[in-house]
Amino acid sequence: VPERGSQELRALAGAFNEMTGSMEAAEAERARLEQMKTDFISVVSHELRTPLTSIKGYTQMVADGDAGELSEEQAEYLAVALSNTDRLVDLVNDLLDLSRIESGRFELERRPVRITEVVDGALQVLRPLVTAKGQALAVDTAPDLPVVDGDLKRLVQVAVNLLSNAHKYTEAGGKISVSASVEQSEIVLAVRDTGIGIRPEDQSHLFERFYRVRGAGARDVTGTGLGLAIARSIVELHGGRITVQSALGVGSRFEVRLPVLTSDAANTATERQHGADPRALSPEVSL
Amino acid sequence: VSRILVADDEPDILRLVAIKLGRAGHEVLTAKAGDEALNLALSHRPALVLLDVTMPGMDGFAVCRALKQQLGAQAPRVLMLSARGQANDVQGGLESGADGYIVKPFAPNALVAEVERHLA
Repeated sequence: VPERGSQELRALAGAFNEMTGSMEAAEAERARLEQMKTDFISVVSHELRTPLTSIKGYTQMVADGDAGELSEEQAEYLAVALSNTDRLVDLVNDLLDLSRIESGRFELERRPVRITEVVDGALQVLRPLVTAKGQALAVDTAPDLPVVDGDLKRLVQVAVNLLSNAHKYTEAGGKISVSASVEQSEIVLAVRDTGIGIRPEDQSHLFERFYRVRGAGARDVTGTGLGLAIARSIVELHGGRITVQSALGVGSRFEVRLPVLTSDAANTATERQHGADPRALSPEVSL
Repeated sequence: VSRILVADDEPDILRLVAIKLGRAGHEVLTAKAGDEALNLALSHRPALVLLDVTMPGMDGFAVCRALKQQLGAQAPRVLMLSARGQANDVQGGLESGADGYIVKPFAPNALVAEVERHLA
């Protein structure tokens, strides 16, 4: 604002300009701090992964018997060390995801995705665990479901999270069901279990980061408290919604709704896909 | 038996990968820096090169680009090995001409399987 006119007006304009200036400076400072926070988490994640690579690798070699035969007790202790290493790796991955989401730098690699690919990808990870715990698994995916414009790896991450929760919070002998169907213009992916259930007061906080349900049955369950917060962000970045219905002692049902890819959008998505490097579809091996 | 070059500036990880690939019956060469890896690859012509991305001096992407440019069709298969696994990192690896991208930490046996898949 030009500082002219009567003395009073000039003083007023001067004060206004000064305030605007300090607000801009505060905004720049806020953005700088936000950037520092994101860089910090990214650097820390990388610095944590390097030693974790050696810890996991050498422990796994010993556990595999590469350095000589193991007693049953030695094998058991190494299995504990390895499962906790994996927990730490999961935490680092979740923290990195969260920092990217919060800074708006979480990128989706979208292409037309069939929901059956998502279900299959998640079952590949969870089926052995579910079977080992003696839980029944029912899969019901409708044939010829329309595709969604999605990031397969990230959608699998969501489905793995939901299935893994169902597995963890359901007793041995319980049942886990996965279904996929289409309703109006949405794909509905549902994961249902006969587990311990979630109290109504917990349900409203379930998708908040670091929120962990406490109480009987949840005590021995490990997790970062970040999985559902990340799952919700991924679903919302896809233009979808995630909801829960649950009754204590009966079980829970998590539902993900994703918009169906319309034919116009499909053409754009296909063009975009053709321009991309074909190896970029599944270049990354997560070992 | 294939000749494989592994480059990583972390000696513990370098040794880990060398042990596993050696046990799987391969001839393993190692390098602790990017320029050393490039020189070894040019003089010893391995069938496959495993490159850490973040190395002092020449990084893994630069080594990969140089190998693919200088050797063309004769260039070895290249797998990147990195603690950075975000989409843009993977994209950077593929743009440098790499044939695959493995994110750390990895299970040693799965790494060997992945290497052998690319050698097949």
